[in-house]
Amino acid sequence: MAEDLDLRGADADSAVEQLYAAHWRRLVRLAVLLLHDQTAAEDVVQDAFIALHRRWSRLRDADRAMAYLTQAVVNGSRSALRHRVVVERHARTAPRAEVVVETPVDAAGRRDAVRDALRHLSDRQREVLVLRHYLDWSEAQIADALGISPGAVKTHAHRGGQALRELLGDWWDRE
Amino acid sequence: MTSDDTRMARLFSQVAQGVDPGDRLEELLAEARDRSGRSSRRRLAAVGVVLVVASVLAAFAVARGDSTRTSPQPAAPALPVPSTASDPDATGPGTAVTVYYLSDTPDGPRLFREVRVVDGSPLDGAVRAAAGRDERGRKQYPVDTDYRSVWPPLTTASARLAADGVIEVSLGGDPQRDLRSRGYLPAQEAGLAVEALVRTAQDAAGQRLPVRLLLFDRPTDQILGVSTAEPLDAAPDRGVLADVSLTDPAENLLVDQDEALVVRGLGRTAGGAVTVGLVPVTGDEPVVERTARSEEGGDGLRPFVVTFDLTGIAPGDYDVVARAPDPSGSGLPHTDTRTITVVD
Repeated sequence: MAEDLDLRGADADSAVEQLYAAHWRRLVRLAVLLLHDQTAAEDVVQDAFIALHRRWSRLRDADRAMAYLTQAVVNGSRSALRHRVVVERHARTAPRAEVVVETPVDAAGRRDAVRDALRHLSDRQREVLVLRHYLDWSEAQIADALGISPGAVKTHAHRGGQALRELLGDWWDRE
Repeated sequence: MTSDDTRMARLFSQVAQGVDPGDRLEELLAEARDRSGRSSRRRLAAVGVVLVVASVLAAFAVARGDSTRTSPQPAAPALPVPSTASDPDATGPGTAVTVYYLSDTPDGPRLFREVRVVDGSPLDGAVRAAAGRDERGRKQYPVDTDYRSVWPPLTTASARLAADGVIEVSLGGDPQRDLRSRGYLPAQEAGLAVEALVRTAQDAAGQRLPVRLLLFDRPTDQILGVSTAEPLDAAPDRGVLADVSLTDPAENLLVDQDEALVVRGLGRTAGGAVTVGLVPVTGDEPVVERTARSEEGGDGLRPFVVTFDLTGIAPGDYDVVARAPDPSGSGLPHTDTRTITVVD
């Protein structure tokens, strides 16, 4: 956790190295949940660390740095999503009734099934669900990060959760 | 937390655990150092000319005075300066222009101004910078890292004075659909992005002419969800510009201990005066603080200036922090900052 790092007096290189060691994996995983694409996710997180390096003299604090990195990854993922290839966009907007998420037979299959189901949510629903359930953010934090009202967060969370349950069907009920 | 919430959190955690990120530490550190090095070289090269550019633009700001923008107002012409001082890659003469960017205040996002040197047509270069691109079409960020351009990443912009007395700004690059709608942008940021383009174009043109926004050189009913059916004028300052915005010094300025540091900007003076402090980047308390002199009266933004004698100020990096008055006592006044380096 950020609070375990003592970055007082650290220069930009050292701060980035320590934050990388502590948070690179978690941030890439967050970006993968938002973007589906691991290479794109690593690009987004790399950009966030480079931006952090540039402004380290103003942050100089592990908690602030972590908040900055997380927000940069969320913003970067949203930006990258906007410019996804048409094929990807089309896949997400296919009528949900036509989508079948197969019942997984093992842990890896289950992970793929959830990732696949996430792809069929709207971008906003997926963002809200990921921030809520992976980062354990409050509605207020999510509203702030996404620039939408807390009421809108609640709505997207509700609809997204319902859609995810429908996509996972029987499997969700047996979980 | 409901059982559904718990189940979803577990599923997301399992999905995340299945991702095995590659190692990019060396790659990202190399790129970060490279960018940092380029920034330092630019900073060193910029010292002399930035002072000249900044002081003339400050005079421009002072001359402009009143903040009301409801009717076209004359503005000073842009200043030709040698471009190589601020961009080692540039060739030919450059021109200093004011570009408007977004940044955050306690009251939400507002517009701040940054002086940039652009090649070619000042009008064209200024709107291109406001849209986040350089003259070669590469992504260009504000020099001040607190500022941002919120235009979609691939946006390009060009501008010209049309025969009917209107400034025409044409946007392109990004998919048309993304530029027409505001997408993920909150409505306020989308409105400010368009406002930034309008103000940047008007300042570069030197006249408060109406601005017609085009999409791929054709008229469009909206840009980022903002109606563009008719040419736009700049909106009133309140709620658009930050209560305080620095013109001088430029970000990353190197200033000699023997020289005076002149800080200029625009600030709201109703209910008090703008204060400016020098805060070491390694600390929180100002080593020196002054109240700015400014014209009085009105509720708008007024030019201000404050001069620091740097004799006795230890060499090092400082944030120049300008703070707007806080008549309501909210404890959350608007601020604008620049980082400078004092050398002996």
